[in-house]
Amino acid sequence: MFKHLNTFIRYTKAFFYINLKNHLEHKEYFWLLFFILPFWSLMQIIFIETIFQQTTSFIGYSKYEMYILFGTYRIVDGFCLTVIVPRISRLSLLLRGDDNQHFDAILTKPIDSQLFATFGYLYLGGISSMLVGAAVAIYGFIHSAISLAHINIIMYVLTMMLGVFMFYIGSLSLRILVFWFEDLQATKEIWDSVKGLAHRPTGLYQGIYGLIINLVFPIALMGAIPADILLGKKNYSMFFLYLVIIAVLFYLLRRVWFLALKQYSSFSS
Amino acid sequence: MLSLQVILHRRANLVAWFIVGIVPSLVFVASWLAIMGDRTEIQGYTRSDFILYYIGMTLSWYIIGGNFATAIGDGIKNGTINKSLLKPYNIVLEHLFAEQAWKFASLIVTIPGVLLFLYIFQDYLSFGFSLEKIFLLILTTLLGAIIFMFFQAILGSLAFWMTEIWAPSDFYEVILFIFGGIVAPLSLMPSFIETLSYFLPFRYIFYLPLSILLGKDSQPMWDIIMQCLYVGVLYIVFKLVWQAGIRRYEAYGG
Repeated sequence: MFKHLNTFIRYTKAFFYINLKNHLEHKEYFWLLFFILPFWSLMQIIFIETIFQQTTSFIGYSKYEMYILFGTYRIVDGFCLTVIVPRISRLSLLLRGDDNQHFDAILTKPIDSQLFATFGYLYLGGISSMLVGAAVAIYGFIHSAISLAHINIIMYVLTMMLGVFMFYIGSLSLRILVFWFEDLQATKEIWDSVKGLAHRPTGLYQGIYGLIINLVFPIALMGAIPADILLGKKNYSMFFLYLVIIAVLFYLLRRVWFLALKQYSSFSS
Repeated sequence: MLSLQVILHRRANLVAWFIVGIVPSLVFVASWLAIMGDRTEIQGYTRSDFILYYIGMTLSWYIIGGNFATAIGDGIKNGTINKSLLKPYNIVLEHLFAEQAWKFASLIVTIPGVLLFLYIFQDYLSFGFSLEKIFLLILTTLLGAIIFMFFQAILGSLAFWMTEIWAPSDFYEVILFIFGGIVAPLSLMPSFIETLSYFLPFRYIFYLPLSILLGKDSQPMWDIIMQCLYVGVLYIVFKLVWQAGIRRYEAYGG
């Protein structure tokens, strides 16, 4: 366990320095994305303003609570954009051999193939998205005039961390399909569409859809559930239930990864 | 036909794109229905209007929308347009027609989903058509598609000056989503956005045909004139940008 953790830390440190050098080499793209990414938040902010012209409560959320929810989603999404997306988005390129690395080479390394193939690149420009998320959440918090217990804040942060794991699980579950469908291209876009479900209140999804989105495959962990816990709409003890769910999903994903490795045959090397 | 064959060879992608298109629309509809609660309408928009608006928006993407700016940009960046420059037609048309094949195939895949969508919400739906409405709908859709095409062509042409065009493309998309009424009907948005949208071309791409479909447009002839005006202006802008780009193009790679 500690050996794996040590490998993980050394690996992360090494890649952090490589990525930092890379960013310093291509400063203009770093800054362009740094400023363009948060721009997308404008769309949701305008949607929130639009709906609250027509109502004072949206599925139990006030306008400023919606800002907290959306800000939470942006923080989780921005973090994942910085840490998870840059590497995971190259998986199909790795498999097809279009990347500067090749999956065959990864399989020969003395490091876990899933870790190496899905983690390690950083995109520091994604930090701007996190900053905007934090600003939106703080704005919502200041205006909603709610008082928060320390335990809610702690569980909020911990649940957001589960949201990061959920992002990884959800994103990789789709990306991994490329092992079976080599021409599949829109996995990023599907995930971008599906993850958007997390920035609406959990109560929006009823019946079987609600059960899936809020519990079985809890995409809502990336925004709505942490916000619910912060605002006291859900008991913070729910965190432990979600911890178990994420552990089970992660285990299943791990099994699928090994199945995918068995399925893999080198494309071009 | 060649592009259509390539697309049909990669059928899994069509299903994927269908999911990409339908999920946000479903969420938007569910959100508005939740907001309506017991009310019968919001500023003239009934449940049926909201459902048809977002279904229409999904379908419109396959008729009007698409994305071929990236393909043009990549062609310029990689030098693959070199051969196309010798042909007696503009490279933009090449990519435009390739995109139509993708849109056509996607539209076919989307129809069962749309029927399912209509089935789910059948209790709320009511709509009527007249010959005049159909004519105006076709005309405004066609003009909207031309406006959209020129925007894509202009964005793609920026690759003559920039090695990557995703930054202006992203910027354009956000503006289009807001001022084009993709996020929500413009008449329900904060008043400064609705007012500003009258001075921008984006409302004439998707929003105008949908307004006509839902019978929300009170001055269709004036709006059609505005569409024609924007088609003319954007054509001139595209020609200027393209010619300036070609003059500085060095045709490396390819």
